[in-house]
Amino acid sequence: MVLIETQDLVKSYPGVTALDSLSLSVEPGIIGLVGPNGAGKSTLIKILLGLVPATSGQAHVLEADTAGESVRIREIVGYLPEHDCLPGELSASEFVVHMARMSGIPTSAARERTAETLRHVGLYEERYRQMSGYSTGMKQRVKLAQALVHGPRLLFLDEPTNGLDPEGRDEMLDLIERTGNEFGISIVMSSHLLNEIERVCETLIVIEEGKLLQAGRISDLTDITSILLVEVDERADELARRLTEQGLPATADGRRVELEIDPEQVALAQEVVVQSVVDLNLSLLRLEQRRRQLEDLFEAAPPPGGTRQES
Amino acid sequence: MTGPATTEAAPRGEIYDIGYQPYDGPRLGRAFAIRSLYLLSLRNAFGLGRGALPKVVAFGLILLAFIPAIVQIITAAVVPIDEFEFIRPHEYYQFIQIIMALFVAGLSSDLVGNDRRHGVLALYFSRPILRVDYAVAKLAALATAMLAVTLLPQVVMFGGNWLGASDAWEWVKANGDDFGPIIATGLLMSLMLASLGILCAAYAVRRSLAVIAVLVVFIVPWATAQIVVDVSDADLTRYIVFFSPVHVTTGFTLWLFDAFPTVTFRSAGGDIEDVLAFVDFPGVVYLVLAFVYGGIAGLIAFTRFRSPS
Repeated sequence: MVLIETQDLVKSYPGVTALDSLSLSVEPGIIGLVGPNGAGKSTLIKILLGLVPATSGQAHVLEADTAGESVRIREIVGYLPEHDCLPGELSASEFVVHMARMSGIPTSAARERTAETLRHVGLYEERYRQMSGYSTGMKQRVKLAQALVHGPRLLFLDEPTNGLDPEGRDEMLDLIERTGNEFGISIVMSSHLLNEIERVCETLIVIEEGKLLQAGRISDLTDITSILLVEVDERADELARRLTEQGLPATADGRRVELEIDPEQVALAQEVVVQSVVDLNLSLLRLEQRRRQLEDLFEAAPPPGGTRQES
Repeated sequence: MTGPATTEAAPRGEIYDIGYQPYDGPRLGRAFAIRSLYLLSLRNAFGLGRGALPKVVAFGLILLAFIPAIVQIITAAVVPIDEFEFIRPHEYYQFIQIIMALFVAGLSSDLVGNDRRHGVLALYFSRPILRVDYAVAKLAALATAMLAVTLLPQVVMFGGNWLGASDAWEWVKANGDDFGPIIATGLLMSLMLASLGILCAAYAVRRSLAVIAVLVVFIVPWATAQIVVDVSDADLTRYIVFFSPVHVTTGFTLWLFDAFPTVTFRSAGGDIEDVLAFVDFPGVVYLVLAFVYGGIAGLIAFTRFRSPS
């Protein structure tokens, strides 16, 4: 089943094109939506929820059309907005019960599920207190609870770690991961921090200035090539040239040589490296293989526009 | 961060606690969601489920709106009603005009303004409702709450007068005709004021501004109309009463009670009835205007909520 599908999705505001002919197709799972501030992440989420109409193009969520069937979509989808959205004078418990009913859950079930959901996100006795006294971390948990309480099949989380301290960030990411994995709820989570996405998500969608830059499983994106790192005592450039001649494109950087290779060719490449080092009569200080990280992808091909991360 | 993050760390041992579960029970959809929003808004209107201050304000204003009714009932209990009647139903709203305005101002700011201020609208609109459903639920809740200061005091006064009458049957024969207009004006008054209130609150997000806006809508045109009609002789200026909600509500009330003033002598502009008599439009015009104003205000407010914010 396809979770989300868009075709040539365009959203323009007067003077600004927020989404520029965006086409993508996403399978269920935990999906990271990455891009700098203003890339169009929030706009995309709002269109998928049917909150904002697209200028042109089509979008389907859980096989329902966002233009004509938005009410049906919103019945089985949860949304955690980026900004503050909690009425301070209510308690978390009252508020989440109300939000469950607003999703069409009968009152008695809404009460039961509110208690369970608030416990799930880690709110206990404080759920009966007015929310105006809550910390940012507690507020984020209530926001997650209201998105979860009606048992959605898909969650949209817009910058769920915004404003949290490092510890709160870790706890929120754990919570998101558990929610996705234990209950089989698909999650689309936007963030401008790559390491957060890498930690929690299986699939990655990168957008910038409303355009799709990259989409796919994170393991596929990072496993395409392995990196072999060689450190020698001297003449690294000579080693690099020799390896390149033997069909292993290598670059030298100080005393280091880096090779990008097919993961299945690692053993063979290592042999060639060792042989070359011996031939050149060098001392091998280090020979290390590592998987590519998301950061490497972006360093290799910096997205247009330059300002990639402002955390 | 307070409290541990994991559910394992909560050995509270509720027997029925099976933790978070996927939901496969019934989903009652849009109509149920709208009803839930209406009921919660109505509760909030009276300060229920909120702090002490909103309750005091709401019930304080309701009490004030009942004072003319209470005075009348007490009078009727002492002096037989056929000898002396302190206040007639068609005059009632003029006594509590300012209370109705305050009530609708505070209420619309609470019901609509609070959601805007706290950003809750985004959450409501992520639920299976349409934007217009939100506006309808809020307007319905506000209009229903308004009945507490419009219809309810009148009904209580009607009942009290009846009980105080020396001959209940004779009294009904003489005053029974008032009951229909009491219901009609109560409903119409509530709906029109609620529409104007929602309109003000939809645009003035800050609470103080919203309250001031509502008061300005009622008081400034009223005072202007009173003065202009009094000092000017030109035929055109009499249309100014069409732009004053207070004159419109008074106009349709008097007309529905069949008590529309017909005296057209020149008098000081202190009394609304005198002004309405002087400008000399047929009473039904004010009824039409009430619908037009309510409709326009409601429509503008609905459009306001329809545009994504």
